[in-house]
Amino acid sequence: MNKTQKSAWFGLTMSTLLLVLLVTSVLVARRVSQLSNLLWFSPAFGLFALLIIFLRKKDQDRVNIDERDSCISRKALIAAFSSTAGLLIGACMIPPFIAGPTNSIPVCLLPALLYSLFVVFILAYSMAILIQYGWRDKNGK
Amino acid sequence: MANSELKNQIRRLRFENGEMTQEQLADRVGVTRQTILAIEGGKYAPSLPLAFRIARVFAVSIEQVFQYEGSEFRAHGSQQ
Repeated sequence: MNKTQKSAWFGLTMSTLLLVLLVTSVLVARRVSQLSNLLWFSPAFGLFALLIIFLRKKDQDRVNIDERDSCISRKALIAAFSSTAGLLIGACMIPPFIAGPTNSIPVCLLPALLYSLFVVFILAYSMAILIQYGWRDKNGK
Repeated sequence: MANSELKNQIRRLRFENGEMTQEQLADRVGVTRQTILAIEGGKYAPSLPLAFRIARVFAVSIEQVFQYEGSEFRAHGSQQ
């Protein structure tokens, strides 16, 4: 497994975890009518960003990324942007149909919507990378 | 990315050159072992500079490493 694949597995694990946490938090917060509890999610995302920075090890002796990895990353980036754009369009179009054009949502839900966009981007990016390498191609055998 | 029309002799050339491992070839051309594996298996068509680097490692011409077996391309309007 090369560096790009390791990063993708890390991204997939973390984004799935964050997405589950986010959805659970929204559901729990709605039930107890305390949507302000969702604000704890900001530090969680900060921690996620710090983990990415600190877990990034550089192996100076070996080639970490080559032209094939760059090509795969580029395609994955396009897939991730498409998925996020789809979600963004859906997030803009669907709520007015469900709640009505003059209805409103709690302000505390906005960070959750923005975070979900970020999480879906990482999720789609990681999945696109792993699909291109092949899920089973862990050792390149 | 995959190209079944592009055949290669990398595996044979590696063994003819002192049973060179994929890792050693990868190090010499500046890519990962997985990329060599993908090229050997015909799953990835390398860029022209990489193809030249591989040929140079084996001290042969690029045609001796890679063979294109696809049909000939004919542009519109060209004479038959």
